Amino acid sequence: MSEPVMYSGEGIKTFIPQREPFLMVDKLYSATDNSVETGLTVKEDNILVSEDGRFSESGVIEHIAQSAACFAGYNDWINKRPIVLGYIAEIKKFNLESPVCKGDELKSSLKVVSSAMNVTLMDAEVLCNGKKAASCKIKIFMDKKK
Amino acid sequence: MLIKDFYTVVSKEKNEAGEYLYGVKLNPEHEIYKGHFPEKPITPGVCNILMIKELAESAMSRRFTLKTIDRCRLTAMVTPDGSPDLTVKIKISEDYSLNAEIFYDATTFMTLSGKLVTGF
Repeated sequence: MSEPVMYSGEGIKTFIPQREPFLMVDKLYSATDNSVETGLTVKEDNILVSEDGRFSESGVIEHIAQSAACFAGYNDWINKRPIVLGYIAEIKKFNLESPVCKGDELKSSLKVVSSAMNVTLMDAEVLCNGKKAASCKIKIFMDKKK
Repeated sequence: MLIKDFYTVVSKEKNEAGEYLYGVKLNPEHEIYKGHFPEKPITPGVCNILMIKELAESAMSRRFTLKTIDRCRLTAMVTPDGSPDLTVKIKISEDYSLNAEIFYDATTFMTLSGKLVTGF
């Protein structure tokens, strides 16, 4: 589990515009021009953790969306372009295979399926403590007009 | 409601087609907007998904997990200042298949089809 992390904590804020209390990625393991690997430690005080300790399915989806934002932000950063706001345009075939709870360690890998203009479609898979927990296809719109 | 004070339900009705229609009002003062985004408050799409699930729970008086989403399209941006009033239309079939739409007047903000499960 001691895989090298490229960026964590505050360092993530270089790549994504989301901030507390709605920051759902805390590690960037790797990024290329068509993939990204990210992580999140689900803390008890996360705004999307319920009183009984469950991380909402919406939290898992937001973690995926912010992972996609990390992918775009990292590639903007490395190419010296400004970081722009990205929005979810569409989610397809989301499946939550097992519950995610406080204290769990999420690790996600996303790969680009297609990209055109400001819209990128990615395949996402989320591992929870090393076991597959969720997957989906996510379409992100990057707001490049400033 | 998982995110305290994020929205208020102002009306509820069930139409002849068996669909539930909830009127909701977003709270523009919520702390989420400090982080999404610091200079531009935009209601996170996943919070609207969460709202749909919670209203489905309210309609059926039971707890659900939204285990699968076949398709969720975000067709217009929701901002707490520009579009605080929303209508959430929910249809739940006997096997807990869910179809939902968030709209106001002629603007559709989100459509979602998926499957709710209990005891997950």
